[in-house]
Amino acid sequence: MAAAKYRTARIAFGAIVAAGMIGGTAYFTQTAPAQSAGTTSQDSNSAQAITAPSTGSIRQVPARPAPAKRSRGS
Amino acid sequence: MSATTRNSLLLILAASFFSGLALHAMDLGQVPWALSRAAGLAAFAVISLSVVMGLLVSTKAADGFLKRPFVFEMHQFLSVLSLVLVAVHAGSLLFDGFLHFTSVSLVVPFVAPYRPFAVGLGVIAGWLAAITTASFWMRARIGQKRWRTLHYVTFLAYAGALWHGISAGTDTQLPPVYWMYIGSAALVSALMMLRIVGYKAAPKRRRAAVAADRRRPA
Repeated sequence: MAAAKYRTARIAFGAIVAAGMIGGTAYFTQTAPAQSAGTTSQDSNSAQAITAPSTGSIRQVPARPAPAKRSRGS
Repeated sequence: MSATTRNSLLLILAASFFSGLALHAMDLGQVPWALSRAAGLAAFAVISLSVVMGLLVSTKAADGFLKRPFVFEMHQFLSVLSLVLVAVHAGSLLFDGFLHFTSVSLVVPFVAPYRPFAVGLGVIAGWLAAITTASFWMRARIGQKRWRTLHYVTFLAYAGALWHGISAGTDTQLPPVYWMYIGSAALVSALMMLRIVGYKAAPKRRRAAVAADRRRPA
């Protein structure tokens, strides 16, 4: 009896987490440029600074490109 | 380990390796990055819930409405689930064409190409979580006292995960994420305080009970 209850609870938790992951991935795929690698919606189109691990110096990397859907003006 | 289990593990490893190679060759666009963010947030939520369940077992705070074996079972299950999510969170970064994480920078702290300190804390938290989760199955071998001592490492893992999420996460400013961090930290802190107070009060209660027994006429 207890084993069945535990199994149901495990499946329920697993299903909630899986649904959250799928929903979250879909949401973030749509809004990816706004939050890419530490940038906000304000600076997503500008170059961003990342500290290089070996030297500690600052190097400039281009901002993450917008997904195709966004560039088509959706 | 039986031959069937060994063969299944080898098959899973081989399938993961070849599907990994195939996925690496494909242009997955923003999907790995989005998956990593979703998995990271889910991992933190599950780790928080697991820590809360563990504290509910040790403080006995949920004894009135939840059975302790059930809470312990869920604590153990959520610990394993959180490790799976951490693996997805880190593994999906290998397929991201923007940040260029390598398998080494995902398992060795402080060598990541992006925010090395904050990511390093996450790597350490992941390792600590893996060690404490593995200790569930080593309890009989290492003994209850050592297991309990090792289990305190969970709090370091939780603190590391929280710091990693806040400082390396790109979604901390989103209201649901922000409130998840605050709610989780508040709940865990409150239960920890309850645990510390209960721990200090326990010997006093025992002494009072012994004294009451002595005063009682035979």
